[in-house]
Amino acid sequence: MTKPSQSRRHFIQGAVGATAAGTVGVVRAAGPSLPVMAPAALPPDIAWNKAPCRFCGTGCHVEVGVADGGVVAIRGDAKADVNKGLLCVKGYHVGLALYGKDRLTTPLLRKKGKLVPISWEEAIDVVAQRVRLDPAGFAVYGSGQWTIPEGFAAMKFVKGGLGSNQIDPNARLCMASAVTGFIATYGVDEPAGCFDDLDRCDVVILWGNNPAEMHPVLFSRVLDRRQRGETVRIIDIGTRRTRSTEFADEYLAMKPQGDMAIANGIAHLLIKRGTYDADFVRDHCAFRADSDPATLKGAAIDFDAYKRGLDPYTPAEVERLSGVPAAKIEALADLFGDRDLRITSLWCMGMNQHTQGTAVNTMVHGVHLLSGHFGRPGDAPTSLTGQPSACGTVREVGTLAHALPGGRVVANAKHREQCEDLWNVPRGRINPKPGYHTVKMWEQFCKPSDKGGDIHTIWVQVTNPGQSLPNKPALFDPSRALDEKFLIVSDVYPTATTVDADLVLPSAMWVEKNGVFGNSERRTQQWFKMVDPPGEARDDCWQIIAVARRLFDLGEASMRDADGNFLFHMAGADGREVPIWDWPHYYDINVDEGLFEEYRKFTRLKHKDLAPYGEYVKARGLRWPVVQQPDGSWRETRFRFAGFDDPYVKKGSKIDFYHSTSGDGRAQLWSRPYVAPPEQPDAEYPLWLCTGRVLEHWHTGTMTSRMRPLHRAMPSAYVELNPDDARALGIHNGQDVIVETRRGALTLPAWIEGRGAPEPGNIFIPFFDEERLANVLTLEAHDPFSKQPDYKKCAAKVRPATGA
Amino acid sequence: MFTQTPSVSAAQQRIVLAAVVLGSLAVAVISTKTHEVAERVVVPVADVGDAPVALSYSGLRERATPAGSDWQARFATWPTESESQSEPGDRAGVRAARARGRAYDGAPPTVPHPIDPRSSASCDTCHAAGLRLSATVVAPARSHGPYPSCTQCHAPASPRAFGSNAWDEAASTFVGVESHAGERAWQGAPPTIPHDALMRGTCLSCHGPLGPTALRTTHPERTSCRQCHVTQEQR
Repeated sequence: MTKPSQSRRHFIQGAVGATAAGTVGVVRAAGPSLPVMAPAALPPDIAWNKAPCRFCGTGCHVEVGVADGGVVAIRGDAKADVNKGLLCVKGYHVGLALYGKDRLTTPLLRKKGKLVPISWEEAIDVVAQRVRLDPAGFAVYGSGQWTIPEGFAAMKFVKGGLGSNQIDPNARLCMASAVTGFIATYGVDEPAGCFDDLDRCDVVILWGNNPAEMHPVLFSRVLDRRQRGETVRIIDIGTRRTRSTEFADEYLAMKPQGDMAIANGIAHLLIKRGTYDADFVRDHCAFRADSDPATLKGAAIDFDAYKRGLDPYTPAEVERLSGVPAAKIEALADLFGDRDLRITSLWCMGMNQHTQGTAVNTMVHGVHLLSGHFGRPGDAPTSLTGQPSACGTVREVGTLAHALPGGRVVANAKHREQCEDLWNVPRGRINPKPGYHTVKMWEQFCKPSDKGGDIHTIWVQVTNPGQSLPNKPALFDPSRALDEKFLIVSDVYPTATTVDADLVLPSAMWVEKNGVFGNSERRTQQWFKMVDPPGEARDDCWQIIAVARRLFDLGEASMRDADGNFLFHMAGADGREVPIWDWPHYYDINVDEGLFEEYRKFTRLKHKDLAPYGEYVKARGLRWPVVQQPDGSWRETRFRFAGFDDPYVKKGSKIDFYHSTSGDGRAQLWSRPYVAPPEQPDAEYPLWLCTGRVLEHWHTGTMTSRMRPLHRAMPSAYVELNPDDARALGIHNGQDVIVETRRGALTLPAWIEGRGAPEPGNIFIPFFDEERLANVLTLEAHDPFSKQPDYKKCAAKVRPATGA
Repeated sequence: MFTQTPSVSAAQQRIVLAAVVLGSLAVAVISTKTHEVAERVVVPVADVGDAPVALSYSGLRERATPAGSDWQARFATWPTESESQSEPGDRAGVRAARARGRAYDGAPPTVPHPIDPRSSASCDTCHAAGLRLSATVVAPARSHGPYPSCTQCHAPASPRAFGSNAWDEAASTFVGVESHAGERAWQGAPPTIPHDALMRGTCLSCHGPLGPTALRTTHPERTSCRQCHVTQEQR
């Protein structure tokens, strides 16, 4: 599949000719051939530059090889701490993501039902007029794939400009429960540990997690230790055997939602046996239960009340609720009761896409805190993220309906004032009322305006809600039949969202623009533009700034700061304003650097200090807080809240939760009961449906489906069945079957003994395939705190497609 | 308490089984065929839809014919880019064949055959030391240390359950870098290594006795390759 480009053809012809000449000599020689080097075959002139991978939240660094204005090769960056030169099959092929032949290259506007090319001038005007229609009903739906400067610009446009809070990201569907879990426990978001824990732990517990496919480089970091002769035990708790299970020492088959019971069961035994860490609990923990109304702070309780809450969760009862044998619950409690072991818990969507996501996140943190498995290298409760900047852009910049940059919230008057001052916009500009969370935003967009549907326009950037929203028939499709609703989509390829859009804006991607991402271990990573985007595709960030400028030129006061300047005023070295809204001038200065330096001022409040942009240019990412040392250098922090590493821990303390919600340096141990899932299998829909990902494809597959090696390995979505269930239903391997839930039906091939093997009564469908949209089936029921839907559990039935 | 050492997992059972099955097969193939066509080494290049997947124990029990009896015949149907179709030592031909299994020079090669979809445990059976499977088919030794999760980097062929696997060759405009030759400072000087050495440190994987003739070393007895051959660029 390698093809010589026009300008490289010369070199290849030279090489072939020279080799043929060499072959003559070889034929004359007796014995094995001597490889004769061709004098003309010079290595191609490749410029190598660093960038974080475009895909998951691991944040591997790749070296991008560029020749003749195109990406021609990728290699793992040996200088990167995260991946140490290794990548996964997606990372090695990430360069191909730019070169699908159907890249969007011109703005498209729907006219008489058809998308027709228009100029950028007209496209920007259309967006500006939709804003002017009613700024309060103009929403932005963003992404954990937004770069930090992009997310910050969108945030400033909506919250610091329009005075609205109608901005929310796809990360709401992805890690919102991890956020609420961290805040409820530690008072501040994001993991305390880092990937170094994986190099040091004795035990890894996978809570509904399949890192062999979803975070392969992190998983191999653990497996490679075994190759070196170290002992690392892997315990896999799940509803489905996966490639990760193949490497696990123990696989604990769990009923869906059994994780809540298991966490309580471990805590129950730690208390009952007295094997919890009494010193750690005495010095560093407080206790909470749900308040009325329920909040993330909850209500303080005492240790005795916490213990009473765990009384019902005997091993026998946990076995009944979770399906995991009582002896295995005892074995888990043995592990946590052993302070000599170092235990790292990993989780991702299994615990986050959960109607009790916040609860179960706090419960797993609780097990680590109760047992003292916290704050030493290797002892860490660590949530993983699926998008490259879910942490950097969504969680840190705060591109959420209720949030402001740097861990602030719109409901807090002081936070609003701080942001208004830092943005230099008039006091009172920021709206104190949170906007709609994702599910609500799309509900309001699907509801007719005269029936209270007050979102009239959504501008989608860097995400594909037409494929990734749950219950598509309820949350996406209805808006497309309403004339007054207008959908704008900035993307790089035609997707399940762009086909239904009213306006499509072609975007630059990855190394076609400057960028900054933030990965799952608090690491902020910078890269530079290396190649030009195709056709008229332009940066998402420019698109926001250009619309803002159009509104400014139309006299909208909202796009002026307190001094009357343009909201995104940027000056060059000579102090003169650079017209960055005018595309030919966008790269006259580094807009990313300007926005990043502005954003950096917001990061101190929650001690998520970032270094100056220039430090990230030099590094393969730095983990915050990055604090300047007396010698002027910048030092990253690996272990947060730990006295030996975190400069913000009170001097002399081993552990200090310095953003504690109880205000006393303590983390919160939550008392939470087991809660049953809202929809469970019954006589009519007898199976549990779980959706998820596969190694080869990234999320909705818009990029990876356009890469031959990945498409070849995984060409189609499928439904995995347990062999016994398949036999009972008369379904064989490869046969087309119909999967049905209360929301929709989907036809796909059955795969038995395939990539994974679900437990009896469970089926699994990957969601990457736009020909087979899994989310016509899934449930929009969501967690009460995080508003994150549960894509992992709903009731379904399956029947053969033939004869239907 | 969980046991300190892992119990024998399904994956490990599969390794043992695959080793037994393929090991016996390989011995048979080598003993009967290799001496006839020792120089005709080929590189498998395209998808091989009917290549065998290592069986599970239960699959073996239910199998009508003894494992392996049909495999040898099947190898004959594998599409290969044979050096015998051109001159031995045809470097351009070998390079073209190699390029077909890689998105660009330096990309991890894709797997030309289906695999056990859940486990890469059986890969080592053939690819740990390399194996001549038939007169025309070689399973190359892996070129790097024993990373256990092979599918992390090597994308397999399409799962059989899904039948055909259409791909429009025009769907991507990506142009990968091609492999190129090393350089000699003067005639007779040891050539430089024209590719990155990371993950390709086991030189004999391609340049050893099982490698294509055109890439094979003239001096396999000298085992410290990088004493004389240096990489073209330092990372």
